[in-house]
Amino acid sequence: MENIILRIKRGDPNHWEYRDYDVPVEKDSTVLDALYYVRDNIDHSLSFRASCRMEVCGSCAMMVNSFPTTTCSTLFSKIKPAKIENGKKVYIIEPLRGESFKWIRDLVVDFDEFFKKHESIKPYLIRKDNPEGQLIQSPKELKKYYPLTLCIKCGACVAACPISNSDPNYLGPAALTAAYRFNADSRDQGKNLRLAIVSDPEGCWRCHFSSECSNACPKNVDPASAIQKLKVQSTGYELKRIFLGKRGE
Amino acid sequence: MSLKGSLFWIKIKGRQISDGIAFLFHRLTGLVILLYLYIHFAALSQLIGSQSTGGQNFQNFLKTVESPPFVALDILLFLVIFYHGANGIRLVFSEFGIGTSRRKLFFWIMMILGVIGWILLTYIVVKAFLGR
Repeated sequence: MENIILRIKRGDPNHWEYRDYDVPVEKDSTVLDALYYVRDNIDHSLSFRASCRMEVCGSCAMMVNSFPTTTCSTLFSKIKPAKIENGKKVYIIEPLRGESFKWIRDLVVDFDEFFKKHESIKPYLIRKDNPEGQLIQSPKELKKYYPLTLCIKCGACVAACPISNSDPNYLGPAALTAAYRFNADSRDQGKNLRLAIVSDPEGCWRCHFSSECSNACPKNVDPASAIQKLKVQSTGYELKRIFLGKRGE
Repeated sequence: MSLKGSLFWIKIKGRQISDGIAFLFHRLTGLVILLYLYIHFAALSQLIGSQSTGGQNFQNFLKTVESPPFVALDILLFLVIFYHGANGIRLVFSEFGIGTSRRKLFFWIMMILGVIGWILLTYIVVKAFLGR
């Protein structure tokens, strides 16, 4: 066991500061464990969002040493400290940043904008018919989109994306990945509806392929790759729209 | 587009060379090329009316741009252009969905090709410069 310094951004947009907390950690302690330790033993007023503690719910994403990640799956033994002060390792914890996240207090941000964008791309199966029984899908068809279903909507990709951080209207990697996930699903019939939305200048074409979203994703979803594939779909859609006059339906 | 958010573009800490840093350098090299283009046109525009002085302006201009410091700057400019070009070709392929899952490998292949191109051009320029 060793003691580390957790430097947490406290306060709200009007008044904030960094406060240091001396926290004992073990070899397999996660950043979230340390946050719970601070709240339970040092400062009960610390606000943060967390739930499952097993990288499933996506609620505990924060900036750890300026890098967005889910704190429940970030082990101190696997990350480098931001600095060393008086022989102690210092880790800086901040709320998720970006135009999609409005900072509320301490480590809590508002996800409203994030989920509005997610909802806008129609992240559900769309059918033109009303089929009875099961929709059969082969393992090969499932494989096309399965890795993308692992997204837990933690927002780490959006916080890492330089475009999302500078353009508040950009749909962002999470929403665009969800659009491609449903477009690649053989059971879905709403591809053109989604392509009409993501072909907007603030859609997939705003992505400049910095790929930081894929580096930040704790579930290895690879949004960067999905967005480029979405661009290919969007190109086909736009060509059809221009030359054949077909619109999303 | 927010200015504060745009500062995030120049963040290097915690970013991968083949991803976030390549993204930053693509923008910086783009700006350098744009700046060079303006300087280039501004310099050439000074030659307008050169005929009236029997081409003397042009000769003076050539003497300046063929001096060792200018040639060294040209070689650096080639590096910038080759980086921007090689990374740009990678981005074009990526936008067609090619090589997106092997980003690192693709980036380094393009960088090696870019450096080879730069060395070859530098060799040609230096050889011509020394052989004057």
